[in-house]
Amino acid sequence: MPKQEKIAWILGIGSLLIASHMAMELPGLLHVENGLVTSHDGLMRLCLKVIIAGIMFESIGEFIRRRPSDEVDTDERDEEIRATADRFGLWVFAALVTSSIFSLTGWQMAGVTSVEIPTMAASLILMMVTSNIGRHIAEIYHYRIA
Amino acid sequence: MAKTKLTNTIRTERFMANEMTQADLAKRVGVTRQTILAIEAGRYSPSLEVAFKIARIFGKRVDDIFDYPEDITE
Repeated sequence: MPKQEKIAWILGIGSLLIASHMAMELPGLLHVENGLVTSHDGLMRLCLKVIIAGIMFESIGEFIRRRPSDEVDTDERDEEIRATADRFGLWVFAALVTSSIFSLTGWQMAGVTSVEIPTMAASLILMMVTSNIGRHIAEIYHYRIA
Repeated sequence: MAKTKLTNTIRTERFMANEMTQADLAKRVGVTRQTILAIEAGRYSPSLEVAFKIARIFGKRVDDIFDYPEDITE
């Protein structure tokens, strides 16, 4: 398995763990009160934890990726795969943002009239982590199958 | 990255060059072994620079190593 693919696997699994942790914690930190989705104090702590963990994972991955080695471990194909994966990640993010806008209609039907900013920020962070998973899955797909 | 229509004779050339391994060729070209494997299998179109480097290693011209079918009009 090439070094770049190994990094993609590690970062993909890392992002998956972060996203699943956030998805499990998030429902317990939100509640609907008089048509307003409000959050508990722990929400901002969770967001901060997720951001720090995400930055840490990606930084370690980037450090390993750029570490000089005697052998050639990155070339034009790796660059192309990364660019393709980045594009895919952006598409996933755009799709998630669009679907969340449309889901607001569903929320309104459920009696929610407004959502507070920390809740929206948390949802945005969850979408970013999810699109990051998509990016790493695309990288692995191009190394393994394409 | 879609499967390329570019065909090549790298495998044959390697065999003719004292059974040069993919790793040796990769080292001389300056790419990873996986890239040579992908080029040989027709899963990746190399850049012109890499194509020229491969051809020079075997002492051939680029169009002796790489071929693009003429009937494709896309």
